Amino acid sequence: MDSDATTPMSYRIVLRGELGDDFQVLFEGMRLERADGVTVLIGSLDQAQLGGVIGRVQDLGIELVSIEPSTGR
Amino acid sequence: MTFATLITNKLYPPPVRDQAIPRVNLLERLNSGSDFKLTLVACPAGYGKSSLLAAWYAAASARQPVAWVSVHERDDDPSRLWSYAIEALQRVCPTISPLVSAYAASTENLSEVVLPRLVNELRGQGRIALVLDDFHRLSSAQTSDSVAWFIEHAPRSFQLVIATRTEPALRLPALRACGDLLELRADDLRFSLEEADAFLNGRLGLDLTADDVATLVSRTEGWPAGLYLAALSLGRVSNKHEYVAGFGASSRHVIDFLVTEVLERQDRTTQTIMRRSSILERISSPLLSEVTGQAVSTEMLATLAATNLFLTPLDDEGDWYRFHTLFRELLRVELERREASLVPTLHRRAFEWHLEQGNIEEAVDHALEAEAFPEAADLIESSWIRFYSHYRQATVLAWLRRFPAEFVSSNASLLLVKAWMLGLARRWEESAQALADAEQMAPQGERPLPGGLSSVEAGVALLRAASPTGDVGVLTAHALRAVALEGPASQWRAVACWAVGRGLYFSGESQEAEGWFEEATTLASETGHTIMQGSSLAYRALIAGDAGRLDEQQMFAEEALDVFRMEGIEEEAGTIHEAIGEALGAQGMLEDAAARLEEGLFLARRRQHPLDLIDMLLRQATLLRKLGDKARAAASIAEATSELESCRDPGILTERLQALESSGQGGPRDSEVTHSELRVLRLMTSELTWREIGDELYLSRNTVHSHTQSIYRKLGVSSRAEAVRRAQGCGLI
Repeated sequence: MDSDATTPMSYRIVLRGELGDDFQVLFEGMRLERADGVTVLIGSLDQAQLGGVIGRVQDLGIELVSIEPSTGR
Repeated sequence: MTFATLITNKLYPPPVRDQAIPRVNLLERLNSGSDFKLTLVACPAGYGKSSLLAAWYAAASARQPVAWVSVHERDDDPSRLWSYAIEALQRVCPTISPLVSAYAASTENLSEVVLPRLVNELRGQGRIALVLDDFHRLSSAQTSDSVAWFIEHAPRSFQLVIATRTEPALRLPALRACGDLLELRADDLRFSLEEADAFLNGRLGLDLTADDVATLVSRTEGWPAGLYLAALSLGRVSNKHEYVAGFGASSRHVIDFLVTEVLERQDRTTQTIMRRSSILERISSPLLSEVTGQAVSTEMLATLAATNLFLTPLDDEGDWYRFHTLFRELLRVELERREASLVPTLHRRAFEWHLEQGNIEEAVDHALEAEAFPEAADLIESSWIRFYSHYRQATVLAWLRRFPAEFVSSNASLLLVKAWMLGLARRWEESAQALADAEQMAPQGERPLPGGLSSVEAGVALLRAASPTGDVGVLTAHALRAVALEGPASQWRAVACWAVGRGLYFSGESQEAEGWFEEATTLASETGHTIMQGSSLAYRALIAGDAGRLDEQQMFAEEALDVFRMEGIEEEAGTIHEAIGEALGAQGMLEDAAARLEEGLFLARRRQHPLDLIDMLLRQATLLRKLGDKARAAASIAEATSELESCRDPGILTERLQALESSGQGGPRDSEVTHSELRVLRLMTSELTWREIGDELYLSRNTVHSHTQSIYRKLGVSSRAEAVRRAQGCGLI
């Protein structure tokens, strides 16, 4: 069943390993921050985009540590 | 049964590469998968799933037929996926009947007709295996449901192997609990020290020390892609030990560290080519030359593929290749790093190249990426009939979502396409909304549309005439409007004539209807509107049968069936089954006729066209009476009656129903009304429609229907009002 895009929400996605800023292009324009062996993606995504980002993470074989809706910007 | 657009290199695995190490334990475990309902290889990118399975395929093919399908996002639709799977199976196992075909089948039809047929065919075939690679690229629930169904019903001699990045929604917990699932996961596919040594030193000849190999394995955690990326850099490094030490000390993710290293050690030209190739899903030298603006020869590509495991050939001729997604993504990062502003241009070049080659789908994808929305829209508008006839509505709807919302909402033809596609997806309310929006733009839309429709008004009238409705008058009015607008030169006149035929048929004007259906049949066969052709023939069969012209009835029914069989489509099968059922009944084969009608009804109930449903129910009632099954006949009449209640203008059907009722009796009695039936019975005293009763009780329509049948049978009545009276009379309610 294809569902249309929904309202965007803010997310904080943590990945294992540190990635350079250039990787932003793969993650639908999310902001990228590094800390202590992890990379944090921060940004606003609708459901379809969220799926896209998760897919990308998987395409790269990167370990997804956590996904959280985040409050505030 | 093949269709021309099948890309056959999907049906073969990537070749086994020289550099690949044999992983004997894993191959043996895969062999043991024949004892399980499902063999699942599930791990993230870069673990060598496809290589492993390619090696397994090569070995196993020596013993038994093994079919392969490399799955793609565009296959995310049950009929498309199974078309490929069946094609792949038929190629390795020619004794599977060519009549089994999923081509353009509707989803219900697939699980109720096509897949059961496939399963039957597979039963007598001995050991066969099917590999579905890259299964994670599918996301639709319908697609996974169809595969789950297959897993459940496939014969024990069949081995299904699925390779995926993510957990597929295939009811795995149940399979695990019953011991029916064989799983290979990341930990199984990691390289051990021995395997890493065999790979890096043995195959790639890097001549690393044991400590260096250990560092690499530890740093990558045995991740094969990481090890290979390291190897690609190491191949061009003078002091390997130093390099390994540096790699070991860095905290950057291996892919971030390595991709730059790998690319920077290539010559400038190769770097540019590789970077720019990242926007392409599949690569050939002419396409790559066009897109990158560099001369890329077939030899160059072949050499690159020989030295880089991440580049796989897609065919035997060496024309097409693709990069492993992981590597391609990394190249994309590099492209963004160095030439971000060039990306839209690259997509545009790809769009133009594919357009020239006639690769519509890839052209549309690139046009959308390049944000060349007018071009993408034109392409969709001029080719959408093809997608419509092949039930590719999911693809087209996904494309439409990629346009800016205002672009679609201000483009009458795109809105029309959207409305038609939503109709195919049976999202009727949204379809009606899109139609209404399209109509509002009619002033601008009074010119011929690229899809062959004469105008927006015609498109709207046509879609309205084809939509489910309980109003014969309105249906006919829309159809007549459409036929006035779509003259003899139009590709859509066939559909318009068919619609008029239906309107007249349901009004009881069968002879006139026959004339329109005849025109529809001729036109449809010329323009390739196979659904219309088959459906028109089916109606003509019904009309001939009703008029007592039995030979014609037989002839039309057979022709209709032929049309559908040739194309493999049975979406409109409701009417076909009806026509065939009636033809069988006319020949006195009453049991077979009843079975056919039941098949037709099953499909008709899902399709939500009330007029067709009622028509079929009345015919079924007549047939059942002939068979002496008065109770079931009464139930059919009861269902028809309730459907009729929600039809604003049922045309001739009201009379036909009354005729049946007045000549009928009730059914046998006895046996207690159950608790569930009583709940339904109580609500029958209210004003609620059957659907509302279902909603109230959280029951599906089919369940309400079968409870009602049972209630009528037990009370010996044939209508809701009678049931209520009888039940009140007995003190039941």
